[in-house]
Amino acid sequence: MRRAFVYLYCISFLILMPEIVLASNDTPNQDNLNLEVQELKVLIMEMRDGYEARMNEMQGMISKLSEQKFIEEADTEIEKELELLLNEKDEQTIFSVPSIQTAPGGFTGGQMFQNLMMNVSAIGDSVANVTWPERSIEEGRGDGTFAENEFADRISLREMELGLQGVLDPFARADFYLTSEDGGSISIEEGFVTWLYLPFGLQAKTGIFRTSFGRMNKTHRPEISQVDYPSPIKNFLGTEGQKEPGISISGLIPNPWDIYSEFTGEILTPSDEGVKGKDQIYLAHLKNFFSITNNSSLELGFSFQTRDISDTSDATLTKRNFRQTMEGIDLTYIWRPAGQRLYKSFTWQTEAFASQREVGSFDNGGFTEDVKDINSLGFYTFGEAQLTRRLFAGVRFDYSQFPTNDKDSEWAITPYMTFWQSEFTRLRLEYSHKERNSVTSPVEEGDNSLTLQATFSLGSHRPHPF
Amino acid sequence: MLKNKMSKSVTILSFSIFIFFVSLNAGNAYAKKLKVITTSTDLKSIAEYIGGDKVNVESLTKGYANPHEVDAKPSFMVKLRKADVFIRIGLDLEQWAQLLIDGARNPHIRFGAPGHVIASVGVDLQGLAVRGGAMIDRSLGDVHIYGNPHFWLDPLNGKIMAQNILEGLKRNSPENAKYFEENKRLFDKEIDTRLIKWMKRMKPYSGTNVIAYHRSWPNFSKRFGINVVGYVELRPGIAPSPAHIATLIKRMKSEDIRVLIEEPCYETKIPKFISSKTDASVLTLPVSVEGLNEVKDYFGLFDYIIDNLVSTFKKQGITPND
Repeated sequence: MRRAFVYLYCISFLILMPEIVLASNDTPNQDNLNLEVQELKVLIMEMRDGYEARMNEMQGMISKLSEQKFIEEADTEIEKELELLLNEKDEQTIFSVPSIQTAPGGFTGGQMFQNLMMNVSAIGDSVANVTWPERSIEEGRGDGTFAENEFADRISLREMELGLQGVLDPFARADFYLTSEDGGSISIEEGFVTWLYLPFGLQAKTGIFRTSFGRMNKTHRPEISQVDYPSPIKNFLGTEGQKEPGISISGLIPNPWDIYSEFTGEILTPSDEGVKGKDQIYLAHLKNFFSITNNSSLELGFSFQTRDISDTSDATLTKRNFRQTMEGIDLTYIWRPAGQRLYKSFTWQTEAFASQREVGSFDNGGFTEDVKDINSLGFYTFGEAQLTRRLFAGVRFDYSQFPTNDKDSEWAITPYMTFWQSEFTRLRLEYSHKERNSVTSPVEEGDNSLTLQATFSLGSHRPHPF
Repeated sequence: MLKNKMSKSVTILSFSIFIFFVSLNAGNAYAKKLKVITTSTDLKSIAEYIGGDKVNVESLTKGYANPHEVDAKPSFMVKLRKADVFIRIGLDLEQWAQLLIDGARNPHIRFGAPGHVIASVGVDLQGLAVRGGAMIDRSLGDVHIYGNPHFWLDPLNGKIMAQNILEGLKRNSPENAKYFEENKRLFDKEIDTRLIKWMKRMKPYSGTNVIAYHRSWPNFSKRFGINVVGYVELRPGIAPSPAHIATLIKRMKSEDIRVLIEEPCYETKIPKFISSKTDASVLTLPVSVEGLNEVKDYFGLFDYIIDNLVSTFKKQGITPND
């Protein structure tokens, strides 16, 4: 309406203006008058444009406000309707008290509360063994293929492990595992600090820890898939695997395929050879993880370590050191369908070890003589299938030579069944047949062992890596 | 001849450089989007709604998987290493997440950092088991001490989760704050509008008794007025015993309970057995987005659950209240 009025006004003015000017014909300077008329025309046009712009702006604002008002009204209506429904429903639910008591979520956000404290857990690992040909505990410890105390006729709390784990500060965390075997004295299974966010995406840890050689070695004995470590781990890394004080640095290797590829380098002080000073273990591990499908994955690892094995208690023997070098390869395939993870899974894991150990003697001048290598090999492989939600069955085959003796070898076959009563209690029945092919001390028959294992866990134990 | 060859080489080199810079630009354009990693598909759906085209969201788990049982795969660490924002449910549901965060070596997403978002802050929690006043232990099964973590099955909690996600996105991309806020407003409106319809559809069946396999439904049942009066799993996380199943069948018969709700990640043998003895309908309902193929987003999750509940109630001849 207003716009029409402006237009009308302008047009009338333009029409009438020349008439007014012409009416006053007696004006002396016609040119000046025309000029003024032109200027006026321009001024009026500008005014008209200005008015139109402002009108448009105002109209835009009005429609925006109307729209917002409409949205707000609609929102308010929805809110009112919803409020009515919710109030009505709350009245109903008062009369339908749920079977368990409920409380409002005072500690919402979870874990914040828990994280103020460290995680404390205790794991018990109890075994009952029957072996044949019959042997007592002492005999079992004496020699034979089941020389370790974990296989002898007995019932025992083989191991108790206490875990204390937590965050130190925004940059580091600490993990301690204290262990006691057969009710004996408490020793440190692991105790280390990990710096999580070093430059270049590196992580470092120092303390006593299970080394990164292979895959199974990093898992504590009560938590592995069978009762005991496979023969090659016992023979090449130690009866309970390899754990040493040292420093470990790891980093992810960037690659265009976004494959998880982690390199770990470790310098360790060996605790079993009495080696001192600069004679360290140098260890490297490369772990690669491939997601084949959503349900299956493959892990491929390579390990290497070299160490001095000279007897350095004799200070004169400095001319040449004997060394032992070991290589390892590990391959793990896991199939676990995400939708049926509770009920179905299959794991196949294999590790192979190779060792080159220098042996020889020293002459009077401290020089080595008659140096030769003992080359030995070992491997294990196992497959484990999940039969039901709680029941698993598997079989493992071990073969191993000995790092100090390449004439002898042993092999074992170990079928087993594991029943998970719950996430925190596990029962396992395992049979093992083991034979030794010995040149140095021939064994006439193999050893058999039947073991019932009960493993139980209290408290909050940090989940283990996949 | 030599000149020709040189000219060809220069052309190829120039073209390669051009392609390189084009791809670099494309990479930059992609990198401008916030890279968001979530622990569940429900969080993914909400984050996609709030973040719109300013985010690129990926979930570590599948909607049909059991959220309690997730493998902390190293490949997840690679994803988290590049993430700008990590959104998790919180409470004690994702015990596996800390291992991934530590392994990812990305300080920006660790707990307390700007990129770490806990969606459960401020939500209404149900099912906090209290026995004899204060005792909570593992004899109750896999209980969650902070409350039932399946709280996203109440759409109003969805709005609170969206608020937490909004705050997280704003922290990491303040230049898009207004855009995120507008999306959040639209999300809330959509929830409110649909909630009215959902509640109206469920209202006639308010107070209907059902059995569930797992304790996934306390928030849903509170919001929509159905009563979950028993469970196939007597204790969460513990496989049911034959004696418990026998008792459950007896109870279902005597109390005329005609619907058994099951989550897709559980076995169907026992529910089918119960159904064969009681004539109850076994209804497989997703508890998360993408739990079934038909469920594409957070709104679709409730659409599916309510559609199927109502049709099953009708099929079973359960009489509406009014």
